[in-house]
Amino acid sequence: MTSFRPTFLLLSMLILLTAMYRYTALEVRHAVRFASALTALRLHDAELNRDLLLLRGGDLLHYDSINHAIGQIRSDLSTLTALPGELAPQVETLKRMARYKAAQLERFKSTHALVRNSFAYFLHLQEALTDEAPVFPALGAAMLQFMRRPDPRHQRSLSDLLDTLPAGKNGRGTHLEAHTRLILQRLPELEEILANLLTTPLGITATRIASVHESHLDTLQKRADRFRLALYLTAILLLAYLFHALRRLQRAHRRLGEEMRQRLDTERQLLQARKMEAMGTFASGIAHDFNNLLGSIRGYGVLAREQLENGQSPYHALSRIEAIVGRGHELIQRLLQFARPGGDDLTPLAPAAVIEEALGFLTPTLPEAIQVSFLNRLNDRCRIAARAGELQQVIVNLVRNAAEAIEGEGKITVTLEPAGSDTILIRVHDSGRGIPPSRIERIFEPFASGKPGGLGTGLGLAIVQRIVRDHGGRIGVESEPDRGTEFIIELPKGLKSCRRPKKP
Amino acid sequence: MTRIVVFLLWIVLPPGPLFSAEPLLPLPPPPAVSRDKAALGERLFHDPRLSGSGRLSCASCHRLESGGDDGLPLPSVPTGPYPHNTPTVFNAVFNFRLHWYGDLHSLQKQALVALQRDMQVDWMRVLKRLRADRLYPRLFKPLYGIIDADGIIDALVTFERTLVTPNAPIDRFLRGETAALTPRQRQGYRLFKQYGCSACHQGANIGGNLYQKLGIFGEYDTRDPGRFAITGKSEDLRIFRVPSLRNVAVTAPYFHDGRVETLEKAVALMAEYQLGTRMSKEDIALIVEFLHSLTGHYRGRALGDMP
Repeated sequence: MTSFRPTFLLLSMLILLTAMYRYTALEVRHAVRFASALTALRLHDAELNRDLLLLRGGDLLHYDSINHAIGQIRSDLSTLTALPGELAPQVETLKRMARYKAAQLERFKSTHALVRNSFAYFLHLQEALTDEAPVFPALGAAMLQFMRRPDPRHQRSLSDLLDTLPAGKNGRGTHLEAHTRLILQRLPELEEILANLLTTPLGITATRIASVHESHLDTLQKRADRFRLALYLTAILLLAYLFHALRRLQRAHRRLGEEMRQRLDTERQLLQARKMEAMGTFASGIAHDFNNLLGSIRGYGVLAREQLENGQSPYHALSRIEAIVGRGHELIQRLLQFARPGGDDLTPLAPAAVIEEALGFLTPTLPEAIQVSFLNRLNDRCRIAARAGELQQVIVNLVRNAAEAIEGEGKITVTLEPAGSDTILIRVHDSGRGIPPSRIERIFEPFASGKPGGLGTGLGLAIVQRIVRDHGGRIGVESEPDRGTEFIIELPKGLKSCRRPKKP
Repeated sequence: MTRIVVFLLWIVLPPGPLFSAEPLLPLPPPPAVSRDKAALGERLFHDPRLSGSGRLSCASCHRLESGGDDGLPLPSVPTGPYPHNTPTVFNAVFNFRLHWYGDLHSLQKQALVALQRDMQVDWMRVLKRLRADRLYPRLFKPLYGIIDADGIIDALVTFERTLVTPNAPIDRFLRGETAALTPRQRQGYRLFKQYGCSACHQGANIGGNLYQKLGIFGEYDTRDPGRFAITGKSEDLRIFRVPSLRNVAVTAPYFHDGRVETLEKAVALMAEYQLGTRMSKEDIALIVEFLHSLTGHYRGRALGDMP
């Protein structure tokens, strides 16, 4: 349900935005293209009309530019036809006009070419003949009038003059007459065609359509503006949501950091408490040892007194007492070292000695039916970087757990062996009841004690794991129910090679 | 800003040069086309497999090593007698319509008509043969995908767009290099304009941009009805598309029926029937000399000067 809502929201937003895009953005683009094609059409039509007038005035002497203009008009119209819109009937009107104009244009070119040609030739001949008879200058003047405005009056005066040309014409006179007659016949026709062309309201119609289209475009653009506004609001909304999410994330991060710090503090306190707990465990072993020492001291004390009474030197007994006291002192030193809070630097030490010592403390406190053995497969020079107290704590915890897993008789084996070139392994194996598979995954978590009846604090293995990690190592466990459990600790490389030289 | 500058220039400059006082215009630079398509089009242009008989290619009638035509009065095509002299393919891209009747509006249409009517192409067979070819599928693939009629036509047309002949002496002359024409050619050009030839033969392609009646002063001796055959309108009787005069010196014989063998005769006939005048031998010679200045270059060589 919680994941359904954002997905639904996202999907509906996507559909909405896509619809708006398809509906408005594309339509606006088409409408803008329509408008620009209309503008181009008006420009090209104006260009065509301008060039027609230039041609008529004799200032333009070729038809390339009008051919180009009508070609452009045709392509503008095909652009307009290709675009969807409600103005299709109007575009059809434009096309009809353009077709009419194109047809008139062909007539214009052919007729215009004839008239221009004849006029050029007329001027040439008239100039050459002008001194031969007075009719020729008059003919020239009448022709200019007619060329300027080919109305019936000028037409009549020109043709009247033509009839008075001297008979017995020479070749040039014949040509002059032929060309004049051609102009007389074709110029009014050319004027009519030109009028047809210039009055075809292609440009005006396009302008009218453009103004209709403009209001349509305006509506579309307003709609597009609304779309843009919607997009803007959506963006703002998303931004607000993003900000909110970020704030929440930040708060969660801070809370998590605080929790972590508290946890570490508790763990550190627990570590120390655990150490003290171990000390308590050791107490009986220590008491036993001290009892032995005290017994020996008393024995040697009695011996020394007897020797003094017998006048013998008590030297030997006293030096024994001194040695025993020295051992007692040593024992106390080590106890103190164990109890000291952690934080020491890693120091090079011989792992075997540390483990032997821990086992020395521990063994007397275990039930007699449990046999503890230690197998050292490292060479004697092997040193690892570690804190002795912590390492001992690990062994004590694991061995005690192992002992608790054994009911009645059993065996605990601690093995120290090289692994690979840069690590050593500490294995603690017991023949106890094993750990059920359901619990094995969570065994290193705090408060996951497997001891019945709330005997354990549930912190033992968590502390072990923490210590191993602090040493840069790893810990794993393998267990078979009713067959036993083995904890395997991998610690980083010894300072010297820990591998025993291979026997030849 | 630009608009203001243009406006100022418009005010300052004399109106003359803006509207060319010359009826002729220099040939514009060749249109930019895909080089690969043009190369493919050139290969197809010379490939006789496009024809039904397997013996005729586009180049059979439009020989690029001569004037882009076949040099015959009328072409010899398997479909029987053909009414019109073969127009040159050079600069065809600049014509406003194609063929003597000007009934074709585009190079595409012309290529299609030539292939289907004159070369009697069997599309199914051609496509099968080209697809089985060693080379064509590889050439078509990146340009058109599969080989089809549209691709073939487009490649041919693309190649035809490159068949332009710039840098004729007249072009250099029109660009201001007066010495590009000999004095006699310059005189011929003056006569060309004076007699009114340039009333129809004008623009960049020196013709090819309007229709005109053949035989304005007197009836020209031909049974060809002209555009009437297309439109059926009486005003179109004997109306033809005005051909371009570019490369005219290397595209004999002349006129729609190819009956005129020399330029001198062609000029004299034009003067008589179109201009209503009789030119002197000297004027004709001058104009013919001028017409020789309309021969342009293709692939670095003057047309008709190919090995």
